[in-house]
Amino acid sequence: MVKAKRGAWSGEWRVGRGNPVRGPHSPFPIPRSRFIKGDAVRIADRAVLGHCRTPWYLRGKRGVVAAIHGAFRNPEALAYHKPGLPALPLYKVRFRQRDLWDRYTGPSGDELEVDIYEHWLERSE
Amino acid sequence: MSEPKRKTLKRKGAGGRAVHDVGGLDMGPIERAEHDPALWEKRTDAMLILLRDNKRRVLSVDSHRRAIEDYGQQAYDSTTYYEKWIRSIRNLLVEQEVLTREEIEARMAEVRARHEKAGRTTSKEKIPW
Repeated sequence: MVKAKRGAWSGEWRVGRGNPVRGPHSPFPIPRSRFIKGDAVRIADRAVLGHCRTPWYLRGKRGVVAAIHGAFRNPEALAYHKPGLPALPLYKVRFRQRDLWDRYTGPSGDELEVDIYEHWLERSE
Repeated sequence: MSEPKRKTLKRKGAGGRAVHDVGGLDMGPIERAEHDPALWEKRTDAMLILLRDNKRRVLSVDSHRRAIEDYGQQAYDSTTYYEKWIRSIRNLLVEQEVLTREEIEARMAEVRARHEKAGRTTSKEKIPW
């Protein structure tokens, strides 16, 4: 098992085999990802400028990177017939349900996983 | 001259969300009943798939979603799933300059007249632009 370094690929598929890398469904190699699996992240708390895939209820919430799916064209540009390049890393981010909802009544271990593009993620302690 | 009066009617608890982005808001129970899609709904589905293929590339799932999200709250809430789709397809065809608004409206009138002549009932309803 190769230990993942920051900025290097850290997904399940090709750990340690070097760049360029692709996820199973990713049409583009990831030149460099800002986060790796296990990083604590916070969803940027900013307003919507047109089409956006980051749901409102996640803004400002903290989670952990669970996986990197690969790199994909930016949907915020594709929505306006632009090429959406360079492709952005897309992460699977894991949240605790009780961190998302004020009065969450389910089991405290409940989690939610959401796919988030890199430009919506900030580093969190 | 006095300052124009600002209207600040916020959606209850919505913050700065877009109209479709309602996760976590109290929107009532989810309608779980299923229904067989009508013929026009199947055709709408087929049109979307054809218009986004590699040969045509008139729209993408992203521009389709954006066109749906562009609706105002009232129109968004009062239209059905496939009504949102067909409006998006129509508007993107105009936006991408495949058809003009005039061509579409003229053709709609023609089709409506043809059906009425054949004794079929037609809907007077229109999908808002």
